[in-house]
Amino acid sequence: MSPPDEALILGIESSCDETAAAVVRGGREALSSVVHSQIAEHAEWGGVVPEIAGRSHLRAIVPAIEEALTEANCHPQDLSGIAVTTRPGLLGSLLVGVTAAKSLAWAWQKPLIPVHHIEAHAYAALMSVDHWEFPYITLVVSGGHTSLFRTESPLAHALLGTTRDDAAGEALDKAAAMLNLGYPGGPAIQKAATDGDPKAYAFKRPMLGPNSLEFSFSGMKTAILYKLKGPGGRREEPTLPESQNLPGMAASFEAAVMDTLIRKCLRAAQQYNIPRILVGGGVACNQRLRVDMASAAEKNGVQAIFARAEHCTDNAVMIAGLGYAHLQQHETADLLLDVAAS
Amino acid sequence: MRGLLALELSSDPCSLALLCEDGRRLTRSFVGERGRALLHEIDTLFKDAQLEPSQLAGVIVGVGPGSYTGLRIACTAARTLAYALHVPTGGISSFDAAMEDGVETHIVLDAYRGEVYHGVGIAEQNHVTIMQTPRVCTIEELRPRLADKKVICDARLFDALADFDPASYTPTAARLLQLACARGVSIDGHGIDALNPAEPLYLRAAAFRPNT
Repeated sequence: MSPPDEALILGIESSCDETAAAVVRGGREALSSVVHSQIAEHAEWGGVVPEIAGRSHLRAIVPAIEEALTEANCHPQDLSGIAVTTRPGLLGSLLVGVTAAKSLAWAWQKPLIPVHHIEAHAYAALMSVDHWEFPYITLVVSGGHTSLFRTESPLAHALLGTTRDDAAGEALDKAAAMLNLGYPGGPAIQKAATDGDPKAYAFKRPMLGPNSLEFSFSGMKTAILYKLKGPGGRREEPTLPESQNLPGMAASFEAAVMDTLIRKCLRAAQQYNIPRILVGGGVACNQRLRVDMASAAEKNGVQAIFARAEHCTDNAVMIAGLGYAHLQQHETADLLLDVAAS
Repeated sequence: MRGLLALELSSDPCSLALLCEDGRRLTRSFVGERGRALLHEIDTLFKDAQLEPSQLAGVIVGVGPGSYTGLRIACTAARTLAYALHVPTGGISSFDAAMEDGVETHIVLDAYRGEVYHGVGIAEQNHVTIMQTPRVCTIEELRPRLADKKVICDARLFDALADFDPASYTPTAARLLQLACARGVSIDGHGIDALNPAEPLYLRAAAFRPNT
């Protein structure tokens, strides 16, 4: 890996419900990071509504870019390229970011750099490491993704396993909705679980066989639904009776999700004899995951490296950072660049 | 030498037009894949005109009604180019660009969910008088108003409106440029700010709760 130079990359991210722009120097140093969150716009609906997201991205994209360049004191002529998320994500959302990036690349005559959103989350974790020691086991876990990779370089990730159904963050969202904790579910569950006993309620950790590196969270979702409906499903709507223990329920569910993630990571580290684990994505903000993963990793002689908290949820720093790595390899695109949902 | 660019992506075929300071008018059109094609088409148009991106004087965009995705792509490009090159951008209703000359024209587009977009107007050369701003309604409530009128609709409604002998809906970027110039926009971009914002004419809420 050649050492980072001083190249400035403008990153643009709009794959789901955050409109983000950032300027990063040398793939490492964030000079600015602007994130326009749509959480409040989607909260009423309990999840991301694609049409609301598309409209919001259009409103926010140019102001976000302008703010990122101003905050970085960066002029268009200073930029070495424009990096943008092209996949995976909501098509209508991706199209706004990619159209903006293509417009800038054409107007300013700059290289256009396509970036894979999940690889960028892995890069976010790499950005918190001073000296890279490849390979790594990489977990990217969020509301839309739960995948394990063997990472050989910032640009080379071999998929080891992914979720067969729901993403971990999606399971947290659904559980939070059933417990009337609000949206997004991850932070809401974490807050409700603060003083809860993670052993108060039993939730299975789905391992899917002794060697599997795949995930499945739909069963956990069903398990909490049945717990909330009561024995024999006697309550029509899932509700937690006052006599029951909300912190305990939240803590138990959260622990089950995080334990599953941790066990799979350690299993992958053992199977591939790679004693370094990278963790990125929105769920990587979760404190239980961070603390329990660090503890379990240490016991197993493995190093667990998390993306910085501000780089876990969707952001454009990771897009610009990985864009720099692509540019070093001359991996750029022409104006016919397209988006992809998966 | 500068050029005024117009984008019309609210329906297929999509089109672009460029009015150059020396009076040349260049156009391009394409079908589908708006997100993939648009900037490539703009680049080709400018190369054909032998203009550099920095010679863009302003962007006029058809704001619909029509394909939400198409409108967002066009408005994103218009706003981003305006920001990047310090030029103005503005919108014109796509319905305005499809009104027939000298006759009351009803434009009807499929809005899905059993509804249509409907607008009424009349063009007199490059001036359009709007008699019904675009709205959402059902074909059933519209039918009585269409008798003996000039009806323009998209291909999906040809069968449903066959009784009214409809013509095909084809707003073009070239027509947007004509209308813009008639509304006081000059080749250096002055006057664009007085147009509507480069904002899609959605006509519907972004989300709704189905009736139960």
